[in-house]
Amino acid sequence: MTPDMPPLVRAQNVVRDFALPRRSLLGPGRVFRALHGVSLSIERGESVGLIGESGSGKSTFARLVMGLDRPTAGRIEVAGVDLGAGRAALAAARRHMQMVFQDPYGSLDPRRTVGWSIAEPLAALPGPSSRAERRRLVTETLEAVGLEPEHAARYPHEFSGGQRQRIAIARALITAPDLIVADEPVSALDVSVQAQVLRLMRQLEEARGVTFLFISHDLSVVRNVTRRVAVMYQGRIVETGPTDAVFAAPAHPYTSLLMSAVPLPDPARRRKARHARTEARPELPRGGCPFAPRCPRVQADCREAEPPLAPVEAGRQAACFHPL
Amino acid sequence: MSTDAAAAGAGSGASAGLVIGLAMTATFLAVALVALAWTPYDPVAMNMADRLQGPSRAHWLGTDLYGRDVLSMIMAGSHNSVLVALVAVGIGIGIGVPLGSMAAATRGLADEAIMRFADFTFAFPFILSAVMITALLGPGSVNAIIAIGIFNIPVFARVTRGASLPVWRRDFILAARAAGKGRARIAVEHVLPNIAAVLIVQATIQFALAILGEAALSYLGLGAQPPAPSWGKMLNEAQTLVAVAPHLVVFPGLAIVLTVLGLNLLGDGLRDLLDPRLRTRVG
Repeated sequence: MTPDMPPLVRAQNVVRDFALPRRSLLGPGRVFRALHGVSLSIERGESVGLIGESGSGKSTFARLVMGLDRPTAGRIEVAGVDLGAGRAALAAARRHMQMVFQDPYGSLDPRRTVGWSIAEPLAALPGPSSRAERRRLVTETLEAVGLEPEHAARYPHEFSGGQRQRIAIARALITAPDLIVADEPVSALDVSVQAQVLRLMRQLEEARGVTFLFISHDLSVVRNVTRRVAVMYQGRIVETGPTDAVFAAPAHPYTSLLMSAVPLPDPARRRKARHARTEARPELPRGGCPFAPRCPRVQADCREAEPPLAPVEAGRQAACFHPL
Repeated sequence: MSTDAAAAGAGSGASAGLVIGLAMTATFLAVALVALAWTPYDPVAMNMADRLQGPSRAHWLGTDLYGRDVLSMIMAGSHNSVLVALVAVGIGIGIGVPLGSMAAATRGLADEAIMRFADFTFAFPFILSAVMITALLGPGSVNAIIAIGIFNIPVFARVTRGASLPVWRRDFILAARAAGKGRARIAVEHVLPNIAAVLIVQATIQFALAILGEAALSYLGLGAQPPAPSWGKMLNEAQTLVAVAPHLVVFPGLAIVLTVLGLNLLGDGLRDLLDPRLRTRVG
């Protein structure tokens, strides 16, 4: 990779606020801050896993990267194109990225054939593509995800969940994108099917040079398919680093807690883990570290200032005053 | 396929109503078609010698005050009903569906404006507003069509918006947006095909209402003008003769009742057949 080449994705201090309903007619407008200044870079060929519990802002971030929603503040670039620089810029960036959704039952239009759905992203591409050309691409992509060319004429309800997710991946692949944002792509699937779909994604990464932004709450899934991970907690990235290093020795206490929440075969450890998981979710503290109320290692200074994301070792960062 | 399975599985009330409604509606349309080419007598030809006869072999449904054949008048009158209902529902769909789609696609200010306008229109009872419109434009079939058509616009706008909103929240809409498609294109390519069933059912019900509306306007003298035959006008002419010749009221009245009943059964049957929630319950 040449140093002057821009990263595939560069998000800088991204903030996204959502308006909440007013408590009373004349009361002040309330705001929920889903993202608190998230910065994240994704280099080509270096698939990133974004993990965190539900409500941590993972999916909001995914939608912003896809240009499906606009940040309240901050800037997102995909392949060097600023997504906030108008329609033309967004259209130019869309050429480089596609998305795979969580629910393969909801992400395919039941009234359209599989071939129609797979060809849909081609509509946004410049230059006329003939019917024959489109059909050739659909056939080729169906084969790339392990389906048969004649499946193009069928409707989504004729397929199983795993097959539907393959169809959704085919739709994302057809424009030969550099980036595929996959929002919980296997969590709606059976475990045995999960493995097949994950294997397919790994193959595509190698064979087609696709980089994934892989969003999941399932650590074992992320561990399988990504080189780097970013851990989110309440709209902030609290730890990033190479997947292997982070999994081997988490630096942030929250990451460590997440790992202890992974289902464990040992009943004694499982009981302990359940105890940590069921702790009540506290109100957001003002000023201090957002994780302080749940942190087993909390110190006095944690309640006074919010720790910035700082390097802990080469290539790793954590937002903690007292990293593990 | 699931639709066939539901049709076969729902062997009880819903499907029976659908078949009966379909048969009645088909009969009504067949009569209207036949009347284009042939009626037993000329529906406007008067024959004073045969006036006010009851049903007989020569005149199956009798004759009216001017000796016109009632069967021929009912057959010819169906044209007026079909034409008025078809065009009026067409106006409702042609304007109401795009308005409702726009409201669902944009939300915000356009949505508010369209829906509050629909509320405003609904504040007036249908017959009252139809009478107002025909009083403004003058009586006649064309103006009856316009009056009923205008009433149909907010009906279709509301149904389209209501059915579209949940479709807009589905993931395949996000996928289409991620593919770079605009809202108008998504509404046409994704949303409308997914709500087509709802619109078909609504169209059937509005068709029945339009036939009733046309009959009501003609009865009040605001619809079809003499000598054009119309079911509502037949009722109007017959009302002073109820005691003398009850068949003059009974037969046009039956024609209206059976047609509207058939269309309603068809609409209800289609709704049960196409409603995915009912479908899963049956399956």
